[in-house]
Amino acid sequence: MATQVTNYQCPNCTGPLHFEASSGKVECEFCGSAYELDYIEKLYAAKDEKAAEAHAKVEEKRKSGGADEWDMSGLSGSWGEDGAGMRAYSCPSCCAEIICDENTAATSCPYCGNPTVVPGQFDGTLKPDYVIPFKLKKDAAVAALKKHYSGRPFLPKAFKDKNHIEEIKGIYVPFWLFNGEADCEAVYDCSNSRTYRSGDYDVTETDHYEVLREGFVTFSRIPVDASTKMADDYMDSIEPFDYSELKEFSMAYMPGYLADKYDVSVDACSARADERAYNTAADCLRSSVGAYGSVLERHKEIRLNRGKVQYALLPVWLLTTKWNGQNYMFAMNGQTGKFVGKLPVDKKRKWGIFAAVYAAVALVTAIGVLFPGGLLRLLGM
Amino acid sequence: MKRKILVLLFALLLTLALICSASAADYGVIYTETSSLYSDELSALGEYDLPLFTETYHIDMRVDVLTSLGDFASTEEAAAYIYETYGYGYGSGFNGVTLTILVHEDGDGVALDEWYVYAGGTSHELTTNGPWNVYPALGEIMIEEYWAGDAEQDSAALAAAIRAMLDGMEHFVLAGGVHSTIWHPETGFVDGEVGYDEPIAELDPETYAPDSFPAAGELIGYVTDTAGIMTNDDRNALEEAARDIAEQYDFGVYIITVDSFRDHTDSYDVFDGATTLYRKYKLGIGEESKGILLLLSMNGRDFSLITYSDYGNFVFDTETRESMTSWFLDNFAMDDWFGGFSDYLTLCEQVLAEGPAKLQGEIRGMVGIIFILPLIVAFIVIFILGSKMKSVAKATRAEVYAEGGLHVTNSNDLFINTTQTRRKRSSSSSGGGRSGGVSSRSSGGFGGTSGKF
Repeated sequence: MATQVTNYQCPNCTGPLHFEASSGKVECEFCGSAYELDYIEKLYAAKDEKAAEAHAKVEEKRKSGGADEWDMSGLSGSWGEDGAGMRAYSCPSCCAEIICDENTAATSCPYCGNPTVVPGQFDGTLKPDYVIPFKLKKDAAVAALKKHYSGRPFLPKAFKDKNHIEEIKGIYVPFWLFNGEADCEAVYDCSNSRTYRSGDYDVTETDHYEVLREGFVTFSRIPVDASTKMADDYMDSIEPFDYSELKEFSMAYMPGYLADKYDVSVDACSARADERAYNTAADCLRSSVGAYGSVLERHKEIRLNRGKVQYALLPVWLLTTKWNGQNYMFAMNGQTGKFVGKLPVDKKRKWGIFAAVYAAVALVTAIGVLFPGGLLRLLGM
Repeated sequence: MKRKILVLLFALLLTLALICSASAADYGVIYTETSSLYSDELSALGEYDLPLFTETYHIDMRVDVLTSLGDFASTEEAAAYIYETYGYGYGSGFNGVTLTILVHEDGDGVALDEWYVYAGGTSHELTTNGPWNVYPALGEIMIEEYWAGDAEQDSAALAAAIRAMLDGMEHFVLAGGVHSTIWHPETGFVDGEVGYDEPIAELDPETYAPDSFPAAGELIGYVTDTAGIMTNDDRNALEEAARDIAEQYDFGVYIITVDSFRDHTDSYDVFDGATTLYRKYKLGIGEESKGILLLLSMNGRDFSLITYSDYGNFVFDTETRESMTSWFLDNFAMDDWFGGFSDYLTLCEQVLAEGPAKLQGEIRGMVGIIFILPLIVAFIVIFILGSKMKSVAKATRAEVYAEGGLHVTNSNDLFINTTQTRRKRSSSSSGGGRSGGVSSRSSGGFGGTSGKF
């Protein structure tokens, strides 16, 4: 008794195959192709074998823990002698935990600006694997902030004038760097059309294709910030960091700068890394299909193979300020100088500009619509 | 002895008969009394081209080459006699055109003495105007130097003359006579029955009295029939209806018929003929000269429907004019002048009645654009400027961290099939399909739709 029912598909057009007694062959209902039964059975046997091999690979990877588990074997909590030169502070206002070397004093919280930070015990924290040293100084951050204000007509004038631009702190933000690979495959229904005239008819001919793409994408060091104090969107926005300047961690890079302790675990951060890797793999698959007028995704499968995780401190200049009772934070990539932040909007100025644009466009539209068409004359004006 | 004489006489008679028959020859519809004129081309013309023209256009085309007029004083008399006696002419109207040539033997060819183009039958237009389409070209061929006593050259001249006659008559037919009873381009041959018993020259002035144009600048009525295609009663009825419409809607509604619009303009476009007449006779009402004019040019069966003034071009826009033509062109194709003009006036009244509502709708549309478009633009500007205030967003991609992008391990583009859809193209916006296409244009403040009827 059969334990499995297989519907054979035509190798030419994937239409259903049926056995035709008169010819002794299996024939396709759509394209009319005919094949020997032996040939089809061998084709499917080869497919099954390939599938079984792939499955075995996955199982092997699963057993070795390489596929679904992050490799955190490189992370270490041992600071060795460096630990003696580190100090820790905590902020009673926003609960931030800051570390710095013994020669640097934390005089205020870099996150909330609270001037009263409490020295604490430096322990229980991982030693970073890497660091990108600060390349840009405070002056560069100040200049970048001033430049950030320009060309923003909605910015309140008072904000520009009264902003505490001197309160800028350089801080090493903790990041998890995720490495891995995405195995992906997709099938697309594609078509190309052309239209021409034939007698009294417009004729449209469409060529239909089934497009298969399989491959893999290797990801290296997708950064996800490991601090609850650092807004994820800010850290994402100052990317990318130039990893060619990534250095093995050394205390020599710490003096003068504060560092944040990580307080978000690898597992908690991995979802964000997974999402970015998955979306990028899907984009890569789609962009590998070209030269078709229409591309519709019929099937897609992406499997993420998790690799090594590293812990790094990356340089960020931070400015926090208050205006009209609201906190505003700006961040600058301490290596590349990319500057981001949310600026306040002067609603009066905003709607004033709206009204001015509206009036100008209405005037131009009225002139353009009424005069050429003679509508004014029609109305007796 | 007697028997020998009889045999001799018989032989002589037979010889004479043979000589005579050898002298006179028929090449289809070409009759020639001289054997000097012969060529393959003449044979083809007589046996194919002339009969083909006859069957196509229902005008019997004949050529007679005479060597003697006998008792006739001229080739014209001889031509008329031959036409009647030998039953020339096509159909019940006996319409036809003949080329009658008088030659005498010269050298091994002939020399030209006289020639005449005769048109017979019941078609007044054919008999009056037909030959005039042939004379200019024939006049250049029927000259002595081309008939110089060389058989080959003379035959070639005759063939050229016959071709010129065919070309000229084809031009006459396709241009269409004013009251042609021979050929309507769209409806085909009318077998000499329509109007043939009413030649123009014999129209009763009590019933048909063609208008005439006054001097430029003088006023004309709403209906001016210089082509004389309408009875006086019809014209008066249309004039009254047009006046009523004009007074009710303060908008001039005009009808003009002419023999040929080319009499009023150098242009070959009937639109220009209509606009010239509109300006020349100061048509239109009010300061803006608001009005609409339907011009029929009978010789070429051309029409032009033009409007003037902003309001006129607004209510009678291109789409409206083209739609109107599809209503009255049917009537004109059947020479139903009164019916066609009545439809035209009725449609004008309908459009003018709907004019204010159309203007209101247009105003509402314009106001909508003036208020809504700036709103959309202003919001777009605000959105763009607002987006500059926030340069922070979560990342959803990691392409910067993808080493080398996608490494493709398997790629297959499989062709499945080709599908085809066919969609019948809608007819062009030109209406009046029964009389051929119409076209629209605007110029000098006029909007117009023109074509054939």
